Amino acid sequence: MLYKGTMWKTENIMKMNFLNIIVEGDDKMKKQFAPMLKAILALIFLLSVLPICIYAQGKTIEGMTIEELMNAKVVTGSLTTLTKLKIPVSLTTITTEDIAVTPARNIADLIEIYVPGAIWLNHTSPRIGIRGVIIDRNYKFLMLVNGKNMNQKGMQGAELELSNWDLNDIERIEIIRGPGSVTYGPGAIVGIINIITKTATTSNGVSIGVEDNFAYNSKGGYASLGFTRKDFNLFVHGSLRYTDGYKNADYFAVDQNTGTAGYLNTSDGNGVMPIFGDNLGKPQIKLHFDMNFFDEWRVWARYTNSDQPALFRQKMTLAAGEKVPVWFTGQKGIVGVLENNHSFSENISLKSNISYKSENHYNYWVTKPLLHYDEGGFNSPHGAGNIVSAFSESEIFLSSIINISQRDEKYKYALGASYSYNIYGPGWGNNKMYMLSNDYKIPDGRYIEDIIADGFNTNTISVFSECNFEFHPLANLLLSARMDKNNYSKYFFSPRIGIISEVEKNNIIKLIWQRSVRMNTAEELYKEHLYNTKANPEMLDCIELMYSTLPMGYCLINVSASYNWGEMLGFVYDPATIKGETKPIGNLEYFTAEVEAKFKFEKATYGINHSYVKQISWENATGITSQGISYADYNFNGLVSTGNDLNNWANHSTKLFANVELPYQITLHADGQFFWKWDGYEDVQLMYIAKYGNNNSAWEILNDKLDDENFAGTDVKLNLSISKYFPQFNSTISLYCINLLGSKRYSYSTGERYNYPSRVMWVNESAAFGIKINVNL
Amino acid sequence: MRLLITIKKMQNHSLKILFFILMPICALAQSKYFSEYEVKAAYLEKFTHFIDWPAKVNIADTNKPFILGIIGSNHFNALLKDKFRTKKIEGKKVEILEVSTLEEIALCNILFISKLESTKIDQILSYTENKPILTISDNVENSKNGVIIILFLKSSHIYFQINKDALQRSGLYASTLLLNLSKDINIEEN
Repeated sequence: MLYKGTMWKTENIMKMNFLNIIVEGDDKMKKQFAPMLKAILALIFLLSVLPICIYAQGKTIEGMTIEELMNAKVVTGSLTTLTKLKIPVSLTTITTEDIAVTPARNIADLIEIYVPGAIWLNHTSPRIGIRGVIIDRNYKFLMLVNGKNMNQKGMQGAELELSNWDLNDIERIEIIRGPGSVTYGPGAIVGIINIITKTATTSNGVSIGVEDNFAYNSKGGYASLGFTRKDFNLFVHGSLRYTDGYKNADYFAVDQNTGTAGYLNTSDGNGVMPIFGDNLGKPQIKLHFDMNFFDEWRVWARYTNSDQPALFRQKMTLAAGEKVPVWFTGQKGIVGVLENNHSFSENISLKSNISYKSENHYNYWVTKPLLHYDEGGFNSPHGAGNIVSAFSESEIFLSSIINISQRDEKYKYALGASYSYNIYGPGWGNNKMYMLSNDYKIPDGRYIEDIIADGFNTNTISVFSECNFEFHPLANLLLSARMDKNNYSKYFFSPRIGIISEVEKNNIIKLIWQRSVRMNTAEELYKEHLYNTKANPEMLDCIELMYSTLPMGYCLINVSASYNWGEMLGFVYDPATIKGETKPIGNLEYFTAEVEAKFKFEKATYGINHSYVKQISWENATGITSQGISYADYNFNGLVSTGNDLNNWANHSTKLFANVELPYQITLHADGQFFWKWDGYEDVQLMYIAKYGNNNSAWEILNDKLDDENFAGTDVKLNLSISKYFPQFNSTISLYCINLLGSKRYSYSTGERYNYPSRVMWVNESAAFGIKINVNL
Repeated sequence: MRLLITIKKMQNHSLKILFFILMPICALAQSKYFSEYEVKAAYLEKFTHFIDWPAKVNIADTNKPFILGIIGSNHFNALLKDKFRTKKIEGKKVEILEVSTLEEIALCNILFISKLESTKIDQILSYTENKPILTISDNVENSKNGVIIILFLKSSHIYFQINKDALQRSGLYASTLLLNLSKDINIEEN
């Protein structure tokens, strides 16, 4: 790695750091080992502190007599069961109560508010980051609904659900921080977002609601019905939402050639697109149906859509007279699932499901006004058009898992298998399929556009098993493994070994090692097939130490530290050889530490969490000179390696929230997210300082401007709401404010490549007020 | 230079922040409190040691499960299911029944009526009246309605009151050890 231009800074930093005493050697060694040693010290610290907490406890409630129970001090309002603590993952649960009081616009907002360290950045739609990993497509985590994978396997990953304003059908969202492909399937490299929908038992009766967010001119309503009878439960939900989008936001952008920078605004004639506005006036619609019958059967179905213009882009007037955003994307999808959970005996049960899912995706970059916006391929070799990608993806999925346990449940075993048949074809109602790869030419001279015009299909088979041996409360051994094979991929193997130790009731320590894999997108797999290659999957190894405790009944605390390493993949095209393939772009090592505490009293709930993510090292793969993951190894257009942080990430972030019930049935909610510094973005500034020194006046002006704008500095987001419950009408009215103090929403940076840092882009999200009314009948 | 100092400070943040967050956690961990429902679940189990069901209920038949019915709190069900996953009552496997129809009440050996339950208590008790079903509630309003045991919260402790008339009508027999520990809901703390 090269450290030209920034070496003097690194040297000075090391001199001031006590780690310099320990690490002797060249600068590269110091740079690589310093964060590693800090990570080890932090782990030692955690390990030394935890036993103090654990042995501070006394007699358990199980061994108490009635008299002792009468003397036991209790706290009200809490109800976390121990079994949840034993799950071998770092889990954050966002409950329906959390959702109801939070003025979140969508699931991306909810995740940023409650999940330690999680962020979202703008791209064409929100891009979610968990534990330091974020990329320009949402395919490094899985988005599930009731356990069903909703990721788009073709290209983009999680798109459905993320941007929908309607959150009223959600019972809770479980977010796993860290890898989990062994349980949830390939793709869960950095996390899982599992939306659990409401059912007739959790939402009985009729509920209706309306909402108006004034700043976004977003108006919508929903209605749901929960109906229970013996052996039959029914829940239906529907919503409709029209959103013009936030029109007065300021967009900060930098010209890549001149270095001039400033704010664009919808009112200054530039006509940049409003935030979160519907595309072409199409409203968001959500429909959900859930039916349970004869105890063991469940059928549910769901439709969602969201369309959004890319930010920082103006409108274009087509020759036909229609005004459209220059760049916009959208997706809609329908899923239907039949589940059966059958118990053969007390100790043997079988869970099976069969599902059908179909999703329509489009991405238009309208640069040819003579054509219609959905005409011709943007990457087409046969005359360029406006369609970057437009296709549908349909899936038939079958899965079965058998669970066997000993009578006392000390030994549990599960074995399962699944099969999915995926069909990639033209978008709904269209007759030709478009993907990003249209202009790629394969060795026999044919263009991919011609080969995939009608679509293609893939088959994936998976087998998985898990053994849980509870030798002793202190020694619970968990062994899991999963193997996946797509007809165009190699065999993928995801193993996990875990030790779960119930040191004392309400005190659980978990030590987990696992390897998580991400199957390449269907587009990449098929391209590799056409090039007669098969890439290895992207893999991430993780060792994680977790501690969960319920020290006082009303307080849940999770602490975790993880060390992660893996080889990141990307699709690299060589125009000289007309050969493109998915291959490694670099090796990443990073450390994470998270502390999460939630206090639940009868009249109040408080939460606080802190996340620390530190890149230990990043090293480009052979032949790779630029990428969006880190500037620690970089050599492009005079921009050379700088810093040792993850790009698009704040190493330290703290999140707080509070819900307080006041007299007169008024509830106050406040939440705040503190991103202490965007360390990777600061590396961008240092990299250009190193490139230009004092010899570029345009850069100096821009650099001062970035400093004045507090670019890469501390960013605080604050949301508030106040709700009043009217018991006579069983209804609630909420007034809320999003971004009370205003804040920056950065755009995802794919790595700087030009004379000036044109990937430095953000939107100033100003305060937005709104009102919600919910009535339960 | 200012930048260097800032970076150095940030480098040292990780340990400091962990230290300051973990210290209060350790302090909290040393207190000994239980959740309200954890204690109530423990009471439900302990009561069965002091109650005898009449022979007609055939309580000794270990082939049939002991039915613990719950009305009105889904969360409590999960806690009880976890508690009685391996624990037995009267040598019988315990089945937690989420009572959804009034007819199901007749199946229960114990019926817990949550304070969260909005259905009219009179309707529920009309199905338990004069039957060997141990009714327990944590709604103090139900103390006058004929529920046999009321769990009530007073100054961070949970006590119980036994309605002896209702107990007698049910045909259940309670040990004097249990009856002696019964407290009046209007108890005054010392």
